[in-house]
Formats: sequence, structure tokens, C-alpha cells
Amino acid sequence: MNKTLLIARREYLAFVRTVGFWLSMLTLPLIIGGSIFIPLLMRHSAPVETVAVLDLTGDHIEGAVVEAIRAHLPKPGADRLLESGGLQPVALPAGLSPDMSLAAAEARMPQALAAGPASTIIVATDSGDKLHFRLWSVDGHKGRVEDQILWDLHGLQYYKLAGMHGIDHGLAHDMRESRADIISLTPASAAGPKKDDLAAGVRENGGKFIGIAISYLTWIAIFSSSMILLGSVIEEKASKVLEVLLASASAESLLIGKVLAVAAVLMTVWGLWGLTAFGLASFGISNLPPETVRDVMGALAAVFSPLHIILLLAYFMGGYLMFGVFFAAIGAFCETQKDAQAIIGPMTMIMMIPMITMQVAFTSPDLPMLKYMSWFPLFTPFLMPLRLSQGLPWYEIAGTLAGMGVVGLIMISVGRRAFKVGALTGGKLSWGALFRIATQKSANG
Amino acid sequence: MESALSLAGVSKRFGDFEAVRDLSFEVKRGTICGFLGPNGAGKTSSVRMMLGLSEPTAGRITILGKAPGQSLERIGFMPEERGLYRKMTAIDVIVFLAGLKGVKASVARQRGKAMLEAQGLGAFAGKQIRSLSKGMSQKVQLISCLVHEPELVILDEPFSGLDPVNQQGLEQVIRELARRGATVLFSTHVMQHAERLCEQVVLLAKGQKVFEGTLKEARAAAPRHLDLEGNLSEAELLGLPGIASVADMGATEDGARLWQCHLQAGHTANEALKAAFLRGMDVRRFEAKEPSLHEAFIVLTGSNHE
Repeated sequence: MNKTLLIARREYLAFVRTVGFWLSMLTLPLIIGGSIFIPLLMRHSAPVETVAVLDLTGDHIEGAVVEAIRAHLPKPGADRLLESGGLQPVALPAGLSPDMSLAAAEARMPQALAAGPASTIIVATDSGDKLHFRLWSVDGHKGRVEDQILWDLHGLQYYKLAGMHGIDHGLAHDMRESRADIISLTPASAAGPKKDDLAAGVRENGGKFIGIAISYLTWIAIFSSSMILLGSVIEEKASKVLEVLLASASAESLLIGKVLAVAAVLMTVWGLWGLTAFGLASFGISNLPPETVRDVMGALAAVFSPLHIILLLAYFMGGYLMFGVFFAAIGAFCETQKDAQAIIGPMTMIMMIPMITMQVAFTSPDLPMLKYMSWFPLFTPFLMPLRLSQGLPWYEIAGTLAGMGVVGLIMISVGRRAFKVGALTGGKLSWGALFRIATQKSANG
Repeated sequence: MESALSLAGVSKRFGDFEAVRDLSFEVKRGTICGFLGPNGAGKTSSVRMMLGLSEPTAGRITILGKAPGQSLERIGFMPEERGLYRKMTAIDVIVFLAGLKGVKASVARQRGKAMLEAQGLGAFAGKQIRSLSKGMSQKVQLISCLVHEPELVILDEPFSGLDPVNQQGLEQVIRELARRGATVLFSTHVMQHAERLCEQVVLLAKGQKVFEGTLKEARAAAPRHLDLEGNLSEAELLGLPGIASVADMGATEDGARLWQCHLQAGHTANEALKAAFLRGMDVRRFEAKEPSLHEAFIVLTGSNHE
């Protein structure tokens, strides 16, 4: 097996065989999955609320209240998964009747609730121009019914007031349901047919959202993998194994092997996280109308064209190569993480600069300043995923990729020398030492 | 016969400091060569240049007929600062490092297990390095350096940190390597190992070669001694033929004195003894001593390294 691949294989297995790796890999999907499904399951496990209505208004609004309750009947089968338990109208408990006073009714309420079958009894009264609803529930159920029929009960007040002012009930209903038609447009969005709000949203802002998400992901992935590389080399330096390795393989093989291994670790993590995301997305999609799903998938396919994906990968790989090789080379000078701090600190600050611009970049991805910054190779991998969503001219893409490629090659060349020098010396690392290594012609191989 | 290793006018400079200066020597194939010198003499710097880990500032190195770094698969190397992957098992480390030397995993595993058995570590093949003792780890390191059956073995201070029993074991390994035709170059500052093992020695001091040759030639560089015991005066002894200088080694139990007489180059102990008896000097005991490599080393390097 090729030495580089052999080194990559060893490094990869060394990473993935640790318990810590699997714990950290499973943590995120578990947290995301848990934060989605646990509340759903909790809602799903909520019992059906049985509700009785005691209409003391004299206006016979009981029917309207029961209709509002029926709108929240428990849903059958899978449709119920995203819903809470629901409401079920039941008959008034014995001892309660519409012709009793509010005070008398409320005096009997504890016994009525205890006798069942209602877990909540809605007592409706009328003070002339306003309806009053007092919702009596058994202990522990307070607020559950109100959460579900709050706006229906407000609606009854709305229709009452309309009736008092001589407005026809049908008209009042139309007024209550009526909304202005508000649409935001761009020439691009106006060109396509508008079928569904969600799909239109994906078409309109999907590229930007995905761009910024990928920018953040790229930053996190590059930073975390660079730290992994740094730690791995520091461990080898501390255990004195680097000299043995350098007597068997070239510094390039060692560096590239390590970079490949961490990339493979990253792919493993992303693979699992991707599967989790796919599972969650599939679940989410199964709860959307088929037409919406079709439109959203179409819009996503437009945003995620094969070329777009290839470019995103190219920017990520370029960035990973630049920073990964740099941090691995730094590691060769250090025997502890503390030794590396002098160099990591300033480099982390450089990496932070593009992330600081993200908030502005999201709202105005076409700002000239952002364009200039994205041409700086150390910022390119973080800013270009966002800018790609704007449809860039080919020369910008080619130019930024080439800039990153050149810096990547320089990093490999300097990193190779630094790695070798660092591995064989116990000297302190400084920017001055790095500069000397970078500028010396070919000393030390 | 083509030499396994050849250095011609090799120098290494680190800034203003010249670690190695104009170093030239050759090591014949199938021999054991001691690369000797006190700490800081430039041995490790020289070894790193031989392996291509660092480039010489000047001069040329040929190793197994090629430039340094071009025949790494045919070389076994054990550095002075030993280190292995602590979380890997002994056999996995051996197989991995053999893989880097181009040996198939199945072959390396088979050889590695046999070598571990031979070193009494068969039961530890599946143990992580961190669970092994220092001596065991050093044995695993040595096996890793030899498992690919190298033509040239370079060992940088191989005896340091080993107890006497393991030092003896390592000497046997080195002899066995030479017996099967491999060339061995080992650096050390402990002369006794070189004295027992080497056919050829190269002495280094302050970055420069001070001697290259056989053990006999090295010893010849140091003055031989004639120890004489009796009622003898310094003036009497200095008057003997071939005596360059004398040193009073103190009184003996019977009240006589022990003198160490240093012989001049080209003179033998016989001449001085014969003259002493002819002159009727009170010589009660005598012993002609060949100089040790340690003594030769002190003379050649001009310092006591230990």
C-alpha cells in the first residue's frame, strides 16, 4: 500500500477506534433528534381532554362552543403524531344545568369534576356586551383546553359584537377570515410561477440560507479538523515517534496522510449526520402536502445543482488543505497544546474575520467589500459558499479557486519543511522561526 | 567491495554553530562500525544526514549506493529518542512500520510475532505499548527497526536506558545481524560496547573525525603501560629504555609502591623489563597492559567523556 495511504489508514483507525470519537459523533444527532422528537412524543402522549359546556348566557352559544371543541377532536393514526391529545366534547355532569346561577354552578364544580366524565367544564356567561368563559379543570389540566380553543372563544365574542351592531354573521365571518395579499418579488422570482409559499421561499432565499449554513459548516469543519490535526501531530511529537516515521516516509507522505485521515474522519462524521438529517427531513416531508414537497424538492434541486455541489466541495477542500497543513506543521514544533497557543491565537483571529462579516453578508451578499474579501485566499473558503448563491461570473470562481490552490501549494511546501524541522528539533515555535523556514530555499530538505 | 556508507567532506551548520565539520569515512558492507564520540560530538546530526532527515551544508553522502533518503526501505533505524504509538499494540506497531518499509502486512505480522517470541515478548504481542515496561518497549522498537530485514542498520545510542542483561541481548542481536550479512553502524559514547562488537570505529569530537580505523589501530594511538611494583624510585624508572613518563599509583600492602610507566611509541615493555632486571632493581611484580579503547578515546578526543 502506498505510504501516504498507509499513514492515512493508521491515523483514521486511531481516531475512529476511540470511544470519545463515537460519543462526540453521536451526540449531535442525538441532541437534534431528541429536541425534535421528545417534545413531539410528549405532545403525542398527552391525554384527550374531555370537555363539557355549561351555557349560562341564555343566548344558546353552547352549540358554537361544542363546534369549536369538535374542531380539535383527536386525529386518527399517523396524522395524530404531530398533534397533542385533542379535545372530546362530553355531556354535562349531573347536578349542572343551564338554568342555575353562576355562583351555584361554581359551588358544585369540585364534585362535578370529581364525578366525571369531563376533565374540563367551560362555563359561559354574558355581561351584555361581553362573553365570559370560565374554564374549570381537574388538577393538573389547567390551561390545556384554553391553549387549543382560545381563538375560537375570542371569535364568539367577535361575532357577538358584530351581531349587536347589525352585521350579518356571514359577513362577520368573511371579515374575520379576510387577509391582504402581500407578496415580495424579485425579477427572478417573478419569472417563475408562484405555486406555494414554502417552495417560493426556498426558491427565493434557499441559496442564501444554504450558502450561509455551508459557510458556517465549512468554518466549523476546517477549524475543528485543523485542531484534530494539530493535536495528532503534537501527540506524535511528544511520544517521539516522528523521527522514526521520517526515517521511513517523506514529510509530504506524513503530512498528506494525516490530512487525508482527518478528512476521512470528517466524512464519516458527516455521513452519519447526513443520514440523520435525511431521516429527519424525510419525516418532515412526509407531513407536508405532496404538491408542496414536489415544489420544494424542485426548488432545492435548482439551488443544489451538481456544479454548485462540486464548487462547494472544491472550496471546502481548498480551505481544509490550506489550514490543515498549516496546523499540522505547527504541531511538529510543539510538545503540548500550550506550546502551540502563540501561533494558534493569531491564526484563529484571522479565521474569525470572515465569520464576523456573515451577518451583513447574509442580508447583502453582493456588497463590494465582501467581494474583495472573498478574493483573499484565507477567507475564500468561508465567503465563497455564500457568494455562490448569487450566481457569480466564471472568472470570479476560477480566480478564487486558483488563489486558494496557489496558497495551498505554498502551504504544503512550507509545511513540509516546517514539519521536518519541527519534528527533529526541540526549539520554541515563533512567527520568526516560521518566516525563516518559509523563506529559506531548500535547506533541511 | 562497494561500501554500504560513504561520507565525503560532510559539514552541517545550524546558524553560527557548526555541528559537523568536514566528516569523511566509509563503512564496508557486512561489518559492524562503532560511531563513537562524547555527547554533543555531532553523532546524531551525522546520522540524520545519512538518513536524509536533514541535508548537509556541504559534502556528499552515499548510502547503499544512493543519495540519502532514496533507499529508506533497505535501512533500519532506531533513533536515540525512542518512541512508538502508545495506544497501538506491539504487533500492530511492528506491522505498520514494516508497511512503511514496503513489507506486506501478512509477512510483517508473521515475522513480527516470531521476533517478539525470540525476545521473550510473545505474550505481549497484543498489548498496547503504554502497558509495556520501558525495556519491553525498547525491544519492540528494535524489532520494528529490523522486521523488514534491512541491509544497513543504523542504531543511535542503542544501549542507553537498557539494563546489563538487555544490553548483552542487544549485543547478540547486532552480532547476529552482521553474521547474516547486514551492515551495522551504531553510535555510542560507551566504549565497552564498541570494544566488544566493532571491527571498525570512527571517533568524533566537537563535530570532527579524530580517528577512523580498526580497534587495534585505535588502541595503538594510546600509550601502552608497564605496571611495576617494588621499592623503586621515579628517577630509576625514567632511566629505563622506552619509558616516557611514570605515575605513582600509591603504596602496596607490603610497603612497596606501584608505578604506572607509560611506554614511548615504538618501544616494548620487554626492553624496559630486561634493563630493570639487569640493573638489579627491586621489581617484585610486573604487568604489561594494552590500552583500552576508553584510554585511546581520551587520548584521541583530548577529553574524559564519562
